[in-house]
Amino acid sequence: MKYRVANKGRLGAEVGFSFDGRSLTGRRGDTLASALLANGVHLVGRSFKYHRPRGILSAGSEEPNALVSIKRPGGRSDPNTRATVQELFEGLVADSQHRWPSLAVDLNALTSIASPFVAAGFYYKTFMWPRSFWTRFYEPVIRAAAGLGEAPTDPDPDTYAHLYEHCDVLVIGGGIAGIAAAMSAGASGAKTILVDEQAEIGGTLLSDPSVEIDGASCWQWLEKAHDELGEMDNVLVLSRTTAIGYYHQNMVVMAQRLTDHRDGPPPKALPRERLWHVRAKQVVLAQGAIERPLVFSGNDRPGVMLADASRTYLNRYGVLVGARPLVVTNNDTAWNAAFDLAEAGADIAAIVDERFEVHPDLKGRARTLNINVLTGHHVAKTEGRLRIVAAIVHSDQGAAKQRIVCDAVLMSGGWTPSVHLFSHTRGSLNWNPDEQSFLPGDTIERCRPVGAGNGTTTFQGAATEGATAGAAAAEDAGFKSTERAIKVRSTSELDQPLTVLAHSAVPEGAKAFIDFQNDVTTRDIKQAVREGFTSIEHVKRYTTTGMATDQGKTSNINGLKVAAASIGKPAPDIGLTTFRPPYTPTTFGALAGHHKGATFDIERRTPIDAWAEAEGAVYEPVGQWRRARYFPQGQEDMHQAVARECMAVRNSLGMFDASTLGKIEIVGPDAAEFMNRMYTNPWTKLTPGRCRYGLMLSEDGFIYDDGVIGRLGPDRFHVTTTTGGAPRVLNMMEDYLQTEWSDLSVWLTSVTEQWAVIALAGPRSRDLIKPMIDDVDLSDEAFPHMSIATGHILSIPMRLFRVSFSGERGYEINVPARYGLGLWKHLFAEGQRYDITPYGTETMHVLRAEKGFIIVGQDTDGTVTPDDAGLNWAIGKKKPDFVGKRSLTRPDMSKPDRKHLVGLLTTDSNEVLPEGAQIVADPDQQIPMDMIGHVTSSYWSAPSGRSIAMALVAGGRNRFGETVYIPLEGKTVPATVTATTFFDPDNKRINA
Amino acid sequence: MTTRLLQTHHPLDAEDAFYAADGSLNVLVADDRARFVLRVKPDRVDVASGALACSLPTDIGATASAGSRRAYCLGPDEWYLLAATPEAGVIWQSFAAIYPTCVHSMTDVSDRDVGIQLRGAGARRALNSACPRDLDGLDTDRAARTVFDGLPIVVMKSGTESYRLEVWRSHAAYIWQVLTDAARQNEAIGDSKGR
Repeated sequence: MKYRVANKGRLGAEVGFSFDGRSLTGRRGDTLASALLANGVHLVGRSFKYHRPRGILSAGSEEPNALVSIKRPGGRSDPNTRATVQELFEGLVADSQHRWPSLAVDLNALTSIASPFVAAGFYYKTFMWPRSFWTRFYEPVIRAAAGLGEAPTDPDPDTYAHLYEHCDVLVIGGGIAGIAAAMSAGASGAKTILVDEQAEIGGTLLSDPSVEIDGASCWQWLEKAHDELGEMDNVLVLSRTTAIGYYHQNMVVMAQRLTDHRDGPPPKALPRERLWHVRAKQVVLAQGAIERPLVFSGNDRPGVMLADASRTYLNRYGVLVGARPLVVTNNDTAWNAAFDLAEAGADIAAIVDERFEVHPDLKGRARTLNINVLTGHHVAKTEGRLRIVAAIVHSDQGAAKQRIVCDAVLMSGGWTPSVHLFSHTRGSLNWNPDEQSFLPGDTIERCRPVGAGNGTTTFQGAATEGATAGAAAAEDAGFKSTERAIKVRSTSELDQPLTVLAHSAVPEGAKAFIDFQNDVTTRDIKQAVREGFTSIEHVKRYTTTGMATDQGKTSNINGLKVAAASIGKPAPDIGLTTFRPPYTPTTFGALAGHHKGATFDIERRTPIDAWAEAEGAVYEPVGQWRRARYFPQGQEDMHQAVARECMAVRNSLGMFDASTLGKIEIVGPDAAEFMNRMYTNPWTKLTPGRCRYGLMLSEDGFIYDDGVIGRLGPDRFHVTTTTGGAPRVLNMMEDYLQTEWSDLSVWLTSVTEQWAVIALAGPRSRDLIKPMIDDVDLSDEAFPHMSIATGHILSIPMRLFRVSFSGERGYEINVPARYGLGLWKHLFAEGQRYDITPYGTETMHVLRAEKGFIIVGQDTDGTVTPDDAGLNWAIGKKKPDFVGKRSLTRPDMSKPDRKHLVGLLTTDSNEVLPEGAQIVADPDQQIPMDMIGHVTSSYWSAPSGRSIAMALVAGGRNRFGETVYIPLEGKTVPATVTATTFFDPDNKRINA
Repeated sequence: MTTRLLQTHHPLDAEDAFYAADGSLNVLVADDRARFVLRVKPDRVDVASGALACSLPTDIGATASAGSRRAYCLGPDEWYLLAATPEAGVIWQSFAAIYPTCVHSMTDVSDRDVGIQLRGAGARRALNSACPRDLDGLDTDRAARTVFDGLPIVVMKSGTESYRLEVWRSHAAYIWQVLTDAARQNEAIGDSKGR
């Protein structure tokens, strides 16, 4: 650690780590970047496009260059981690990326030679021809050469937590302004949260120990401030927590890192990160400002760094970034870096300031420290391969040039307030010509920007502004404000408002970088403007400036200024590109939270599901539910199992778990009238104790849902819906009831989960349940098909439906859900004498298709009318109105060539058509053929001994007996158009 | 033929109660209750209150109780009723009796929902892992219809550190899992109590 400076920094014990296989040591409190710099390592990566050697530009989350892969204990790894924010821990393994074979010798750097051809719009213009080369050659080559880092291949072993939180005042940013705001808000009694992305609060104060606050040294004061905040029960301080997005109505999303800084694998239950959704009554934005690079040729060489970053490395991390640094600036702040580094023993090569006029105090201090000052000068270019060795400095008056030998260039092009979160609120930005930056203007959200992020660059100014904002925020949140005054005494000459030179010289060179991460140069931006891209959004997309993980934090203003100069308009007229969340790169894990593995998403299970699982059922997802699809026995495949299950139902008895059916209890004196309006069918004359098939349309007249509905009493209906349709049907009903028909005296209650439903189907179904029921007469006279009764089965209350979705005699027994499994087991045991066979959804589908019963969503697709589906009989013709009625009168809805639902019987009865297959009238047409419909349902029907299918076919009902053709891969299948009923067309089996 | 013949099942039968090692949270399957959803017109609330023998509160979120019967006002004309299970029949009958003069929607949902009980300083944060509602801002003895991970729930607050959730039967196992996972995470982070 030969660049470590004694008695500087906020560091602890020594820790070991490795970089590209080299074992190095650092100290607790280091970032990976500071530890590398302490070891004299500046070269840490290769650039994205040109593979240029790159170093560490910054000391914070804005870092565009120093992206490395991190390996953490327990098989954890992450690409593209910014070395400037990765805290050092014992055993950290870091590797550079994007280089081959090694960081020092990267053969892809040859791109550099060809770089004039890799300019802006390169991807759009090149590789267009020959077209076939794109997928086979260009894309693989580009993908292999480009890309940053490698995604981990193993499953993520970590868990991620989530929390919704509410507070009165949320303060984002833990610098002096933020701390002041939190102290005042906390002292006012408001529930306050202070967040900061770094390992500890303090912000710039951590890099500038010379400041005195409230009579104490700045770092002592920070400790006291931390304690003061900690003692307030109403204040929560969160470090390592980044506010990544600001959403409507003061909802701020924050990512809290919990384990990435720890030695060794984290304890099992400890999540890696926690994502916070904080709803704050008031927000104080104290995010500070980010230093801007200067733009000169070769401003990207390792060793070229932001001036204030060098000061942070010195004061916070005790690292001298170079023995002979050259300081280059267009404003006052970089002088501070020169002074601090000089006092720490650096030989400052010179201070090069583009300004002709500089404050005499600065010049005086430079003189005292024996620093050579060149005002009215700028850097034209730099030299060096893997590290800077010299800079060529030009005078702005005359042609004087000099070559200055240096091992680092510390640059400052001014400061860019971090207005990202403010911009997420759709807040307006105002151009500040003094600071050459955009400052927060108006916003609709309840937030207050303060401190450097608001253009207030002095410590005292930021402290006062923060305290005032914190108190005011608390007051607006309903508390009596108490402002916690903070008195700052800065020893620095530089603690005064910032003024930045408006126009920095921008050289023509091809290697003057604007966006380091995307390798965008001034030339690229000028070229984009020349090619007609005059909107900053277009310039961004054409050149890729401001994209990728740093989102232009260091490049936006420089890019804007070059574009503005090229277009010939002032910067504020050009504007900025949109700031998008997240503020900094956020792991997918943090965003996904618990949504992986067993808790990826809810999977609803019926009360009977456990039995099906134990019986080896094969499941299918239906909406949120998992449903047993079939129950294979032995080595049966689905085809065999379904054939067996179908035959069992037709021959004797099957049982089916229908619990997932949506159920809605509709109660009230106007229940029948409500039903009349919601469903196409008439309900007034349906007597209690009877059921009816109900068809529901949406307003456009197309089939929306269906189900059997039982009338329990004059004012009470038990409605069933499709499994997947239950929530939307209830929503649509409530919508009409609350907005259109509030005059109706009727109420809806979801009872889907109240009832477990066991469907019994087959000729022996009544025989099975008859001995178990003594309060319902099950004779066909007393309880015919389409009946409903309340009663008891085995003394358990039940609602018994006599319905059939198979064409066989059928009963659906609804019992309170807690009894579902017990009853199922009992029926299964008792049913053995009838060879009772449990069946799943696949058999249910086959049985209903044999009867031509539709499934909404399978045989309909939102464009099918009742007439298309052959369901005109379900329409109450005399009813004055129902949802969708008016739409049915549109001429379009009765055109003869509408697609009708028909049956298809393949000429080869063994051929089972694929569902979704297209249908043509003439297979010998030219391609593209005129397609007249498609197959909606298709099965092997064991009872029929052949395949059956349903299809939507244009004018289908006029084609009965015609042959149509289904072109498939390698063959064309002929089929005859038929009615949709394939089995027992006279419905004799319903009472069998 | 008796109900004794058939076993009953609860969707959380397989779950053990959760006790945080630091004592900050217990998550338990709540006592079973008879449950009803009652909708009745605002001008007939008095009659319905008489049938329940418990004055129905009309402030949304408010709770009232009489004996084992509790009424939670969840909407302008909507109440969620809980009672000791043996009282279900009596309540049902007294509401059937008033129907001619006071139409209402009384619907039995005893098996639709199941209850989960949370007790302890960590209850609020465990719930807020997936429930966006400001639960500190919910007063004791108030209830709210809200969501947990997007699933509908009713939260009933019976003390600053005591909540009961009513969740749909088929949501219970998932909610239980997410809730107790979050409780374990909060405990490991060490801020389950909120600070």
